[in-house]
Amino acid sequence: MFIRSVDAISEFTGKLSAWSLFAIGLFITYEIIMRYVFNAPTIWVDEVSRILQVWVVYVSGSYVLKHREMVTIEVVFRDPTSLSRKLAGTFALLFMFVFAGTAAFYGFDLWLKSTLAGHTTDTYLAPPKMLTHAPVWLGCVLLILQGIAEIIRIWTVGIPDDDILDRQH
Amino acid sequence: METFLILSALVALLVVRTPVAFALGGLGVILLAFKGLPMVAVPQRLHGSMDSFELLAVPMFLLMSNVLLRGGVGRDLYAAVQGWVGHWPGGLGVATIISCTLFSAISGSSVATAATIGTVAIPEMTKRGYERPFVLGMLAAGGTLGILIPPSIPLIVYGVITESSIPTLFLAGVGPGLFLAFAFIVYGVVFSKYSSAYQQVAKVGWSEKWRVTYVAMPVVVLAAGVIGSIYAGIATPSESAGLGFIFSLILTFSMGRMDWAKLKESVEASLRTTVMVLLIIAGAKVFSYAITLYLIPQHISTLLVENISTPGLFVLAVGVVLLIIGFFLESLSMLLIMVPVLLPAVLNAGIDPIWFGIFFVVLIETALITPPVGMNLFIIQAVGKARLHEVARGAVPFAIIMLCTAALLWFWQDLALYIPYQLMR
Repeated sequence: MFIRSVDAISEFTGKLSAWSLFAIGLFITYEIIMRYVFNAPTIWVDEVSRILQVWVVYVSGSYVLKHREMVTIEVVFRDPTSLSRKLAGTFALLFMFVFAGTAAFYGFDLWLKSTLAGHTTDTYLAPPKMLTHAPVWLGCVLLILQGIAEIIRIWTVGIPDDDILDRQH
Repeated sequence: METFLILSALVALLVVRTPVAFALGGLGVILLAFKGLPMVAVPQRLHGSMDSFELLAVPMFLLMSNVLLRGGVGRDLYAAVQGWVGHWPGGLGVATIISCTLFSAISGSSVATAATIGTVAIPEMTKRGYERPFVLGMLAAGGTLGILIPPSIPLIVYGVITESSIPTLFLAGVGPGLFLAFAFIVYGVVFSKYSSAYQQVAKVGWSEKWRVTYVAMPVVVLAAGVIGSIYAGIATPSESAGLGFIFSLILTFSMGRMDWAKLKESVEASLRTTVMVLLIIAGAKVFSYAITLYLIPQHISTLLVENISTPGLFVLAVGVVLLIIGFFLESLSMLLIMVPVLLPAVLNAGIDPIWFGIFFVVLIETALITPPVGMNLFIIQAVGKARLHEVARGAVPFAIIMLCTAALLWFWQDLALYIPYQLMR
């Protein structure tokens, strides 16, 4: 139940992020058309695209972890069924918690302070920091949840064999 | 001692298969904690590292190349080039390298280039009796042109982390990229001349030549338009990549090569690669912040400056280190770990950072085709349904050509710098 719920959340955020990238492509094209055809450059495309990029990268980290597409160095522990590989996989995910946990904890603190103080960014659009600073901690929380699901998966269903063709970037 | 321990810890984490992004980020966090520094710097660095319009070029170029890849552009390019040069001695090898060069002008990724052209060229070349290790090695090496000929994702990343001009880096990649393509072609022709096994392809008629060229032409025009718009000052690299993505969609839909399922695949594949690449950058940002506070780049710089007296020896030492690291590290990780460490020493030695970026990418290219960790070897192994040692054996002569090119770059720096500094000034 836990694994299925976490997987579903990661799939949803991943797919939403994928189409957000598509939207950024449309925004950028719109900006160029407005600049050269209508001589009326926009004031929002640059900033909205950057905000979206931050959201996309952090909230879909869990989706990429679920799809096992994080870059790892595959020199040793190649046999997915061996105990050493399972232990290495578990250690790697626990180490990820050090990074994601710190970023989530301090990121949330930072976000909460900015939100309570009603801070905005010092840019032209001045969006609230509540919006711009949320993806880091939120994405790291999702990463931790997906990491727990992956650890459970390692010790229940096992590690799937890596398929290099899935990585035709 | 501190430097040695930190670098050893990083190596240990990577060896136990910790994802590179988290090995860098996690180690950065631990180093900051040891110094008792405020941890709020971690989320701040993570946010700041992605809040960059320049980095948007990465997902936009990936979207463009994924759409074109699934639109069957590789087949069109190969057919067109084969129509013109396929009947030459070793003509399919020539066609393969030219197709890789053309696809490199669309895609910033070596893996995408190797996979796209490999899918078409490997069956065609092996059917004509070309030796399998030669074919596989040629595709693995040809694919690496994707990261030297603009656009190039590693050059975008290098530009962002060293604050160098991305358009200048792109221009500097053109000379060495074309030189390498030419060297691969020469090797291919010479190899075929002494190989009796392959059958030469029959010359095709003019009408067929023009037909295949007509089919491939829109893609070539698109690639030229995307790169041209950067240098004409019309758009930034991110903008031209975004525009290229939308035009590639229009193109593939109008050719009847794109549907909802392929579009969904393209968008999701682009996201996965984007996040994979950009999370490493985010982790590297935290790591490089931490090692800067520990003065590690300065220690390494001092060590190199004290022990190595001339820039030539310095470049040789760096080249050897990168070559060794390249056996084990994936290309982008190599860039993100080593550049922040080496950059101060590079600047101290009076080396042009644009030149160093190109030199670094040529060594990354070599790393991509050297075992045990050579991404292009794995891709060609999978695409060509081959054994790894078969691909690696075929790639050896190409790796030697790349190393000779890296050496040549030092003695003839204008190979990289003439176009950005003289021709386009």
